Amino acid sequence: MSLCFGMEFINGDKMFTKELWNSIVKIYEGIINHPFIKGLVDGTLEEEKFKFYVIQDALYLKEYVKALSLTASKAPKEEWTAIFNNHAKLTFEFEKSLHRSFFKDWKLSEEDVNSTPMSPTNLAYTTYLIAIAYSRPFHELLGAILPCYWIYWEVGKELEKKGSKKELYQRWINTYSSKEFESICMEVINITNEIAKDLSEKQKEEMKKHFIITSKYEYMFWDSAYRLEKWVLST
Amino acid sequence: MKEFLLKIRKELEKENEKIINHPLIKEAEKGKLKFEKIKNFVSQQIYIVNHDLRSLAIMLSRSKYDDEVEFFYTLISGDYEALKRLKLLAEEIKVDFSEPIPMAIAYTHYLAWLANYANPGEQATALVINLPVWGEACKKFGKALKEKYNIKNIGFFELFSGPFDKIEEMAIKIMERYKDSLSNMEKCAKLIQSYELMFWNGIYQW
Repeated sequence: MSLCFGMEFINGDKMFTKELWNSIVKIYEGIINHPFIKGLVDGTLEEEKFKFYVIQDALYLKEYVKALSLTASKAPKEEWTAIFNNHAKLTFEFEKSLHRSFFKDWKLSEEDVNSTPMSPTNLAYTTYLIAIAYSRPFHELLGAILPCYWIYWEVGKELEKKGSKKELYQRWINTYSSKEFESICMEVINITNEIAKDLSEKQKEEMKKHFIITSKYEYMFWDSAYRLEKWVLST
Repeated sequence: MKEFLLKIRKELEKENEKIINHPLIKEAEKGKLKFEKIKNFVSQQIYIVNHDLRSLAIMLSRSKYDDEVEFFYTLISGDYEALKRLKLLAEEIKVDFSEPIPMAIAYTHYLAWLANYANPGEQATALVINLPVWGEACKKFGKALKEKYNIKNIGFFELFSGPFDKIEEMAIKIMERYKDSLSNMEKCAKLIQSYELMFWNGIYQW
């Protein structure tokens, strides 16, 4: 497995993002080796699971837009506010694009998607993000939102190399391995390194704690789709 | 909702007139406004636009429906363009944000309150009641700065000169959804105009 997580932009061992990534290497390995991801590549993943994933992703993105907007509102620098406001917009547009592509193919209306209950993992992940967004300082929030950018970028690059035997899955892979997505991720990674310069060790630990937790949620998200996760008790 | 907005505007006519024909604008139109006041206007706007952007982001984060996200994002985009143009103006007249004028910045602090405590319907009402009046005042003030003070970068003021039909249409759809809180919508709209007037007074009296 290649872990070339943007070495081109990490110029030294002291870069905080390198420390962050090192803390989730095993989680990332778990993701990249997950049967969901492997199934995307060899085309054996059941479409039902992929559909479950894309619907849950659309629901997730609606909440992620909110977390990004709150990140914008808390950013200590004007240009960072601009970056996160822009990312919120791009995420919103991306979520809309899912409706024009995948959901259209599956003949799912916006209402169909929006009325789908969030899976337990999705709800846990998004409520965690929103709780951090409202209650914690900017740097901790940054730690919490970063895995969604970074892990998807890394997964996208890895999958791009391998490609998928199924057109539907290849279309999805192309989204996350695009140059545009790379520059979006880079912006957040750069902000993370910049802000880390002024943080105490304790503050960086807090940031890392959220980074690890949401990375675990990233793993759980793929896994929940693979298991077609349901609520234990129905009402 | 269109009628509701008309009713509020009618009730606010006197207050809005005070803004559009504010002595700050009138003196600028005659070329009699001290340049220091123009500098204060720009300096306080740097603070205000930057904080408005954060409040609009919070409003967006509290949106429940896609049209609400789109509405707030449209305003965020407009504010970014405004900030870009404001910086050009600040550069030309050599001013930066230094110290806050409490009365002048009360508006943006109220917007922060709206962002945190009001619902999207109340927020949308306040914003669309405010925009055309702010826009009209800006149009007149910008024109005066160009004609009487030879200031070239007046794009900030031109940006707000309207029309606001599209944004009002978006707002009305949102307001419909929250029509249970009509009285709060009205309160928010009237309050924001008081804060708007406070901004102009704050600059003028400082």
